[in-house]
Amino acid sequence: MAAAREEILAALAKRTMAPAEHPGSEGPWQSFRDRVAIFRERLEAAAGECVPVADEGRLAEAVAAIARERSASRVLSLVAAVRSIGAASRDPHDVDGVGLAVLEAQLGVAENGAVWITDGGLAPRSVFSLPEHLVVVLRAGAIVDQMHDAYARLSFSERGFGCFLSGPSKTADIEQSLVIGAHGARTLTVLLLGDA
Amino acid sequence: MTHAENARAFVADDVRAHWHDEALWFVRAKRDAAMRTVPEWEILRTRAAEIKAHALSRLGDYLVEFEANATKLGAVVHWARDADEHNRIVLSLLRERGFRRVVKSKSMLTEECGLNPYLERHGIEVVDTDLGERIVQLRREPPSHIVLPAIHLRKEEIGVLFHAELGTAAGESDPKVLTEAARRGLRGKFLEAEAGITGVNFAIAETGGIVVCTNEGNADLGTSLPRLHVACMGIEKVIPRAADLAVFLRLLARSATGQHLTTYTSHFHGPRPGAELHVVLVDDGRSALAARPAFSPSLSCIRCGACLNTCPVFRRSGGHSYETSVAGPIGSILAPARDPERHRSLPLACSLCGSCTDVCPVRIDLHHQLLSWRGVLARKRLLGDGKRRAMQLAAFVLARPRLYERVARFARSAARALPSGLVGRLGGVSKDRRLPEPPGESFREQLARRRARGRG
Repeated sequence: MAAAREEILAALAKRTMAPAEHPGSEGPWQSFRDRVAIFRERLEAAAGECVPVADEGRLAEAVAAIARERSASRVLSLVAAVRSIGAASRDPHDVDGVGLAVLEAQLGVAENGAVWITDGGLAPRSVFSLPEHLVVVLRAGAIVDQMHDAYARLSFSERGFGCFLSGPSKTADIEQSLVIGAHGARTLTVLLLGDA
Repeated sequence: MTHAENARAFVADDVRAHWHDEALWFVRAKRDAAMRTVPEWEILRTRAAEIKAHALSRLGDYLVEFEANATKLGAVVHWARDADEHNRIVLSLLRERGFRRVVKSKSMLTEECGLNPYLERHGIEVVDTDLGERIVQLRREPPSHIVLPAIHLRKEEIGVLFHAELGTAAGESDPKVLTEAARRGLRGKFLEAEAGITGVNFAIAETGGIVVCTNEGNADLGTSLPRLHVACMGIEKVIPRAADLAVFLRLLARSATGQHLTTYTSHFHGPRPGAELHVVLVDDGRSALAARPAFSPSLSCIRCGACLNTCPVFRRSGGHSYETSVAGPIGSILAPARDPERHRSLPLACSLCGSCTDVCPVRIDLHHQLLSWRGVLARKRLLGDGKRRAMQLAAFVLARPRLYERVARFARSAARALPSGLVGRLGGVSKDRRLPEPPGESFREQLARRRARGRG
């Protein structure tokens, strides 16, 4: 093991590749006049849905409507304003059978319709991929133009998991036909706060 | 077998070959549409190439930095010199814990290392969970494309396979129904798995984290349920900083499938509570490739598959013709570096059209490297005697303008007089290619005639 490490590093130290500077992160990077509109458009292109919600008081009602529509009886919510239905333990396997998970996004990215979600230690990580349907709560003001602006706002100094999620799980592995709901969520709805 | 010999079987099925060609060109067109939404696309490509060149110029330092930071977060980092060492490390991680059931998401590195057959020989059940990879695993064949593993198959063939393996109705070939059957079958495998193996798209030196991209969410399921996550990566995957991800992620999915971003772009920093994360860093010829300036830029590859989708040879010959884990233009550069004799026909599976170089998101000069490989193989006398003698003869004739003129005049009249099949064989052109009609007069003859007319 140690021998492998030393041998690989010695081989790399001997190589003759020309030194090259890191180019830095400064743009010119894309910006949009109407980020919310672009975010919606790109999210829908990724097979996600976007539903405006006027304020936090309306969240529970919006989630209940989606749960009804998707026939989800077990709801696992990580958002304070929305109650879970049917308790889940800390065992990641127990998320199997959850019809709908409600997550909170820190960020949205206009250029690709993705939301940034982290586990935050609140629930097992399987909550991002195992439930049948996902609802993500996002504040319209938290949408940035592109990925450079997104990473400028993220920090990775601690142990944890984070994911850019753009739409529901999908595959095109059979004859390039797009099928939604490969292994993970079959639908993903972003509840956009403060944009109604 | 040479690429051309393998391709013969592929092109024999004309309908399939045309479908394959068009399906990949459709993906190329989606890539173009996605690219056009980013005004700074060319700047991003340059930036990506510069970051990779920088990272590769200090690869040892960044690997050490990654190792230190990943370890601080509670991950365990392993180093493997070659495929065999990599496979032994993964097996011992499983054996030490008494684990026998593994789910795996897509990793071209583990394909390169032959991890699946190795683990299976040692009594481990490995289930590929990417739908395309699951399909080719059930067919007991390798993937034919790094992003679209089952692109060589028609839905009817997958229907027959799933009927036999997963019990779908006979004659069922609707992709939705087949995907649903795979989903149901694999759910159980995910829930029962004791370990999840993933590849790595990017490892971040500055933070010690790894990033894994999928559309299906299979890497997320495969790592959030079992207690052990083993991530396998080539040493060239390390990038300096988290901010660099913005550049690569903006390019990767758009170049690969025309999506703006992969559906799940997951950042793992350390193991999840109560679980283990092991990262295996694999050299397997990469440090040797880094020492060859003519070919070292190929280590910048982010495995998007754009060069495969655009390549006129790949589209018309299929991935299996290459007999490598990575096919297409990039594979034809990487494979001869590992075994020049075995893969000597690959740099010739190229028309030097340069389309691969035009679409490469990290600006690898692919067609130049393919041409350079031909030179290397010629010097090693690996191009075959026929080709070598033909080239020597061509060099002799081309260096003598008067002789060239006479030979060319003879060739034109001979080409008109003789049957085309014979001309092809005499000219050293394979029977799968057609020579154009020979012109009535040469450029020199035309020039001489026009000059004479001008004067008269």
